[in-house]
Amino acid sequence: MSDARLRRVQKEIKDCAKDKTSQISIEMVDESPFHLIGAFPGPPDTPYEGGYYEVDIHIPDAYPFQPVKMKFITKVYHPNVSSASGAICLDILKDAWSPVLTLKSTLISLQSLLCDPVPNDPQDAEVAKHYLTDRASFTATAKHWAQAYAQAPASKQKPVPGKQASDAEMAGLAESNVQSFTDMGFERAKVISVLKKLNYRGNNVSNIHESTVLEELFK
Amino acid sequence: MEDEVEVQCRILQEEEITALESIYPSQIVIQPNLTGKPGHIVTLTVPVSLSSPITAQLSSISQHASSSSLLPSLELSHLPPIEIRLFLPPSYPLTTPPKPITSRAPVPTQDGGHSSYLSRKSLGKIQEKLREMWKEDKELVGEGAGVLWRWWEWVASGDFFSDLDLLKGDTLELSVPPLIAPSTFHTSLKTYNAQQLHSSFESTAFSCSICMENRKGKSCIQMPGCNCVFCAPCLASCWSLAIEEGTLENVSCPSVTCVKQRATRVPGPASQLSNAGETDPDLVESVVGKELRDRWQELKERRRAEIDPTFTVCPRPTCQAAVPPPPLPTAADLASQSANSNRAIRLSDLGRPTPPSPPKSAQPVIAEDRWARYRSCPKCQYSFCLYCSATWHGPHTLCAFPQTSLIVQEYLSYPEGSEQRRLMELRRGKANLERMVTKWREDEENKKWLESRTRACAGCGVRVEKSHGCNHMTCGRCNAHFCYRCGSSVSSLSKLSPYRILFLY
Repeated sequence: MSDARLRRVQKEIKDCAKDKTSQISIEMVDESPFHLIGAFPGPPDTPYEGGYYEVDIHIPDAYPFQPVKMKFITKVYHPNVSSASGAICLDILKDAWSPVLTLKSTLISLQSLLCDPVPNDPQDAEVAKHYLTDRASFTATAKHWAQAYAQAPASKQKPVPGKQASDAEMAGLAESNVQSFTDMGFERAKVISVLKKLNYRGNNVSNIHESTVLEELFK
Repeated sequence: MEDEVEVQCRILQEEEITALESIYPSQIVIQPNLTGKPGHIVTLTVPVSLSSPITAQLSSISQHASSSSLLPSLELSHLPPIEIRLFLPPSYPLTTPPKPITSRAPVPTQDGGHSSYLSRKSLGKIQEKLREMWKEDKELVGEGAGVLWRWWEWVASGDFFSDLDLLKGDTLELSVPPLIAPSTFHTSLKTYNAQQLHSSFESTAFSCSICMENRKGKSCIQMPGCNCVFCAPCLASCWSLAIEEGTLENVSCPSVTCVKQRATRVPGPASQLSNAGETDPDLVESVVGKELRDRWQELKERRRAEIDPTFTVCPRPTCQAAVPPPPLPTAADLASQSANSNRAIRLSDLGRPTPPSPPKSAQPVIAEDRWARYRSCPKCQYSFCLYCSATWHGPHTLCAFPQTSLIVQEYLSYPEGSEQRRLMELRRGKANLERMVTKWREDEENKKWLESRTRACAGCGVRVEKSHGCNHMTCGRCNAHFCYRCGSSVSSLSKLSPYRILFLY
């Protein structure tokens, strides 16, 4: 059984190396063929375009009859990926796994998850709220993350190429909103974390009373 | 001159026969001309295999007419072979056509060896076709050519059915041979077709999408319903693991689409209790063997019992069979019971608190009856109390566990080595008390562990531990979707509003 697992994984790695069109790579981390790193380019026409995403792959003992364990190594701003741990919420990694799925087809599914977020089944609630309240701002933040963490080239609209995005931009928050609270004397990191949690963005700003924010800031 | 043609013919005949023999080695018998002259007697056995299945309707012209209409139609891809014996004259193929001697289309039954599933007229036409084909060639080219191969293809592909007007629309019409019962004829055609399908499956090569290796059909299994093919060892590993881990829904087709279909199924007990889409137990046994098949069926039973609230599970760790509720007592039973024990129950009730938990399943009729707590395991015959899982303590005794817990708590409340502890040890036995304390501590630890490390399923309450992955949990028992973080139920199919997002990290 474990022989069959080894044979299959080796075959998968070889097949993936042969396939030049999919642009998906699978490499070994150490001598073990059961701990791998998969990588793929961010899909075009998404905020992740131009980025390069690495995925940590653990092959369980009962593979392929148990789902492969995958999480993002590269930080991704996406409703179905935890911005903290890289954990992924995708049905085929859990109850919809089939032994017919391969490392490559699973990585392709991850790639298409980047194209089509499923905010109704989120992994990261804050990101999902951001996605649902203010799409333009979400896209901008996702782009900032792609540039900062996934080596995506800076977008053409940016006046100064390669300029670092501010911490507010990385959190998808308006600098003016952050400043209005830091001016009160609160620590900047604390303000960003609270505003992120409250989804203090776009139209939602008018729904959140200042006292709510202050209450959170004093916690 | 004449000899020259015959010499040429002999070479052509031998070439034609060698070619046919090399393609269909076991289906050709060649005998020399009986008169010792050149020419051959050839017997061909041509199996009929259609490229796509055809519907066949059997009709009877004999006295069975009424019963024949009851015969269900058949889906056939293979029909029994047609045998023809023919003489190839010395001047075939150049100047003389082949001369058919006899032909039959035997029905493959034990006693039906002499019956033919095609009429004499049809067989005559099939023979005649040889001559026609030869003539066509001769008219076209000026001299005759070998036609056996072309004729063979015409028969083997089943093209002759339409040429012989045996097809009515898309349906093949066959009449039942006079000496065979219609049902026997029906069965023999069906059996032959199934055998051929099986052997052609066995000799086809498949690529198993699990181990990614090519396998002969002989070592593969085709799933009924969806027709997906996997190699037997892979399917065995897949199903064995599913049975060992108790993920019973995986004991079915493991293909991506089939798994997806099952995963998006509406959650709830209804879909679990129904037998729809269940894998055939015989198939399971042929894949994983008798032992695991039994285990699988046992687990299925138990799963059903877990979903059905009136069932319980035998508390003996080695048994754990599903225990059904006792049959509802009849009016006569109730009358005799009340006559026998009514007074006793009333007396024992005096001053006693009510049992610790309300009966989960009891019907209103027997709710009053202390016997409602009685269960007997159908597998190991263990008689026990539904409330406390202990050996049946009769209808009048209260369950012991609250007392045990009280005793242990009292014992632990005294300092170690104290007089009160010594007294309790004297009264109840030291070893006994220690065992109770150990057990109580274990239970408490388990309770604590369960509280801190697991989450109750929002559907059925079973404790679930998350090992890795995201917080969207699907209960393996009742298929409910819930959030591991907050425990609330999530409908996988309904959309959540932006402000009802459940998952945090």
